[in-house]
Amino acid sequence: MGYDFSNVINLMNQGRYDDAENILIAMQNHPDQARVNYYLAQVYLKKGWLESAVECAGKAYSLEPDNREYTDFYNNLNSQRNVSAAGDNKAAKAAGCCCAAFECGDCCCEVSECLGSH
Amino acid sequence: MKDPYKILGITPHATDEEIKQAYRALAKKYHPDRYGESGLASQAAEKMKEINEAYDRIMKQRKEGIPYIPEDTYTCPYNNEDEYNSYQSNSTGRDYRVIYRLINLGNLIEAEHILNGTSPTERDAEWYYLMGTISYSKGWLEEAFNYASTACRMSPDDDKYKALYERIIQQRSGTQGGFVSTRSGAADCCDCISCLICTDCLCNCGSCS
Amino acid sequence: MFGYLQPFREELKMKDYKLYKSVYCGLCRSLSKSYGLKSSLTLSYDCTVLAMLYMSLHDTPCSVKKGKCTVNPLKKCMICTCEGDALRFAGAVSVIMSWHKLKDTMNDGGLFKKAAAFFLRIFLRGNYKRALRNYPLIDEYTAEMMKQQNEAEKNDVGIDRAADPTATLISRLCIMFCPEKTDRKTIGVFGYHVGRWIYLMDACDDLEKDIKKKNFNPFKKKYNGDVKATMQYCNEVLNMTAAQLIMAYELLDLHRYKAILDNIIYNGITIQQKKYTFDRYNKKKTKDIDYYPAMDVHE
Repeated sequence: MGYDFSNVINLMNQGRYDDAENILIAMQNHPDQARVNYYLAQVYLKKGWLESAVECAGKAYSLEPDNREYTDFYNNLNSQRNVSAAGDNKAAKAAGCCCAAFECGDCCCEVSECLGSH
Repeated sequence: MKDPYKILGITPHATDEEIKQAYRALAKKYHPDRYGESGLASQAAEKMKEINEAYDRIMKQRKEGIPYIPEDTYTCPYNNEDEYNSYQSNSTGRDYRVIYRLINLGNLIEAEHILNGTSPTERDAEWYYLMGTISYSKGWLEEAFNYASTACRMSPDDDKYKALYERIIQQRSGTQGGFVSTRSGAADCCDCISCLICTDCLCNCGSCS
Repeated sequence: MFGYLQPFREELKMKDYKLYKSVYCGLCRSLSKSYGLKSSLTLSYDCTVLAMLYMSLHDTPCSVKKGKCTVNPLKKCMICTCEGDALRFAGAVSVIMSWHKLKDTMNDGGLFKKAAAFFLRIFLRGNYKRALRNYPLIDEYTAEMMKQQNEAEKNDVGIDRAADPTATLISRLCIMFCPEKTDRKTIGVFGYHVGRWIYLMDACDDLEKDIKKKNFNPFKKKYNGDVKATMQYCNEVLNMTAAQLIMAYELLDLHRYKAILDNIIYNGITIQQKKYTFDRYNKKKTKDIDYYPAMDVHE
């Protein structure tokens, strides 16, 4: 179990997500925990375990907030949740808005318009 | 190859700006940034390749003045230098390369003028075919139909002539717009892959299955 | 569990809505023919969507004819029939999943529910056996899913792990029925997130009841007394799942029935999420539920 991530990346490319996950989880003592969490987030995303992906992406981001890669990845994931200011009507309209993938943070789209643009 | 207009989700009558907009929307949809870590990146990349190829083809066709022929089984011959240089003159020995070149450049008036200069006795199947192509591009569709029919009649084995004729017949059947009046027989709307009316429709016609 | 995946009628063209209904009725008729009349009881909207997806991927034409309703012979309806396996497959999924769900209720529910499930199971036994004969693999996958599900709930796991069994089941079913030309990874990811979405919608729907009865619910951990706030969170989780399933959906090669499937994916999912996570907690009466999200909602 070396300190590089090449074997993890290989496993991910081969679609062996459970194996990659196990290796990363065992890397608790690795000096670069941000990277461990970043790759773990990617594995979870590919597995479809989205909440775990968000959690790990968040950890990577908080450990290294200046890292562009981690920031972009975390923001990308969050945009799919369409987080918006709580309590106003935007939240009401944004509820369940599926166009979040385009980072339409100002989710003012009426459902039918939004769908028209897809 | 699939119809590039269908791939981009637009009609052949779309303006260049509409085509660009459609392309941009699709590029955004299948962008590698969106699919990057999802595990479907290679599938999205393939889709993007298809879209890029479709866009390039449409823009190239428009630039070269090649008329839109749906379903892509018709390709205007002598599009490129190699085909042009390997042109085999037809049975009457007449050299129509100049005409092809003019058509490709969009100079239909000049091409038609030269063809009209041919005496009626010298008008071979190729002449009728080229007149048909010019009329089609001009939008004079009845003339195009007549010319194409004559070309096919005079030279029934030529694939080029058949392709043009069949294209026109398909459009006349109503499957690409308008009303399909026949429900059975050779012009059955449901035989066409591009059967816009039949797809998803609630049709009860027995032939639509 | 069933019935969350539906089209949004108001945005569907009339012809598409009629086609959708005819597939629903066609599935009912197919259930009756293939597995016996009683199996029509297991009919659901979700399996109708499954049938449409199957037909769309295989590009199966269907014919729609007037007929008598299977359950109420006095009623006339339009019934869809198609070549190939789509309706038989969806029917088998319907019967087999219902059978396993009833077993689960027998072990889990209150006294009355347990009794009802017990008798229903006996009632449907013959139908189940017929479906099982045709599609033993569906039964195997479903049994596996129930087993994993029960284990996950016993161990009080997190959201991802709790949704995984259902998600995996739908993923496997989709891979099972897709044609050769469909990319397995794409349809697998699509099926996974559809299954996950359905599971999480069900969890959302049952959250208040599960809190009261102290049953397992993957969203309970986030609940801090304010159900509205928890629903906001639930919606975010659902949004993310929806985003993933849409990404996979857009890579599928669909032609027939695409209009209906588009409506279900882009409109139906939105409306259903809004209904269960928002409308329910923001209106005084359920009959006030706003089906036109384009209109501003003011208390």
